[in-house]
Amino acid sequence: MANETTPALAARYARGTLIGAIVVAALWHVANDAVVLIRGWADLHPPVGAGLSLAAWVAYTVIGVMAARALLRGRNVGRAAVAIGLPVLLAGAAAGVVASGPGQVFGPANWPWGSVGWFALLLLWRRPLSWLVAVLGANALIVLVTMLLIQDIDRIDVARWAMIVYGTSVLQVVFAAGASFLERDATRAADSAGLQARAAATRAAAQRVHDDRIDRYRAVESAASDLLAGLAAGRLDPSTPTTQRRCAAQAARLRRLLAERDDSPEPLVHELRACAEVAERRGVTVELEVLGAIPAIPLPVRRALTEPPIDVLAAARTRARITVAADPSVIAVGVVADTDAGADEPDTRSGAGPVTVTVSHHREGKLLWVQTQWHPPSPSPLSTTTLSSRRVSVRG
Amino acid sequence: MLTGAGRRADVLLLDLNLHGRMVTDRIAELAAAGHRIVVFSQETHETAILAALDAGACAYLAKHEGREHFVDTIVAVAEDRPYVTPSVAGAMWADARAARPTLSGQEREALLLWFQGMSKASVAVRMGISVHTVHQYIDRARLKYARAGRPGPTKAALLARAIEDGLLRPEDVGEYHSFAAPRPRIGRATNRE
Repeated sequence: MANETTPALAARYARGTLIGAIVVAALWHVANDAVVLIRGWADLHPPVGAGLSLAAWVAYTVIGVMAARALLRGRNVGRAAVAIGLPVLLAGAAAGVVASGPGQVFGPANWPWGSVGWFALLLLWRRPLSWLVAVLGANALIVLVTMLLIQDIDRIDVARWAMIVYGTSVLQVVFAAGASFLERDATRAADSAGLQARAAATRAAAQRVHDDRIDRYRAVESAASDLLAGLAAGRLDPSTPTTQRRCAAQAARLRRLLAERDDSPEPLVHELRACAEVAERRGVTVELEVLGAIPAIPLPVRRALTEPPIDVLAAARTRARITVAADPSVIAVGVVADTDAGADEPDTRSGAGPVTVTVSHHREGKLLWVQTQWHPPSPSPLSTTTLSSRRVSVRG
Repeated sequence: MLTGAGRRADVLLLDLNLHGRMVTDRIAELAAAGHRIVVFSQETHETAILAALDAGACAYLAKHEGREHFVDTIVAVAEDRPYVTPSVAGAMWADARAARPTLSGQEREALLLWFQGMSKASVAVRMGISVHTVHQYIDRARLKYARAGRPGPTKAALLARAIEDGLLRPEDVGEYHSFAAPRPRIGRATNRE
């Protein structure tokens, strides 16, 4: 359990202590109390004494089982159960003295005296230690008073009484103190771990927002600043088709950047639509058709898929057709547009490993076709998205 | 619907959305009566297209494809030849139904490129094959759809013509061979409505 968290470990210790207390009480009640009750049956004052002792044993058993059940389920023993259980335990202590009879109070037949502490420990589990001390004090007093009622006592009896009080109380008090310490530790560990986790989550979220912001800033900077600086310095002539095309492409990239932040069920289509709108504003008629179920696509892949289409759209003169076709093994973004720019180039690959996107070009007269393709690492289940095909034509 | 001049028409052009109501369910009825139907619709969802083909429509023209493909589609359908518009190519490519016909990798590639908006000549260059072979791939995919599902006179006519044209061998048609012999005569359909 090398990677077990501190709260889990503390909780396990606390539960171990509880099980220890239940086992001690059960063993004591069976191996000591029951044996003494059976062996001393004849010596107990029959029929009243034996009957009283048996009744006390049964009552203690019921209390013990009830308390153990509640505690093992992670609950405290209920208030009502405590309010009934404690008087029953103390009444048992008195009954034990009466049942064992004069002169036998310190003998083994008076077993309830020693058992009250263990059962009170269970009844008062996770409650203040002082309550247990009070019950143990009441136990000692009841034994003393009952003894006084049934026989004369001398100094030696008082000394033996005090000795047994010590013997029947110290163990339970130490046990209860240790248990409450562990319990508190477990709670504290859990609380502090929770606080740490929350702090870490907040930090991670802040870092993420910060990174995203930096990322966007860099993208905007590289997309627009060169162009703006060139225009401002007069190095770029706004009247040339090349500059106009560059401006159109950068405008589409900025628009895509904004679209990436939107919460959309199909981000790829949403981002392409944003790019298409920029082209439409220039008077280009754009068709956008979507075919099949598009799986989740990571942002870097979406950018790689949309980058070449952006350049084609920026160069489009009057019309462009964008298609997104998806099946479980491939996502293909295709653009056909009438343009003068862009040559018939061999296929290229961008990215590496799972983000490899293949780019294909083909020119036929005025028409340029560009396709980007990405193969998802593992076939995504079709059930994640419904089959869909839409056509968007804002103009024309 | 067919009491006027339309009764004798070689090809019926059917808008799926008639007075605000989708009439996909009427295609089967008209096709069963031997009418060649070309669906002309704003709807481009692949399920609508596949449903129209299954019901026996000969071709499907999306409204935006009208300018480029309208005449060619009508002429091809009147001759019982397959005509696959890009929207139909896309629908066949994206067909994810369990009972879909099995298309070869080459057929799928040709369908995808045709759907994306390339000319058939460009598809041929791109795939390193002849334009004729591109036509064959695309038309064969369409014929696989004609062979699948419910038989009907228009589907049978399409298959019969494909055999005449050498696109299919008679044994490829299997159980529909008997339908393939005589071409149904248009205009013999009983009047409806």
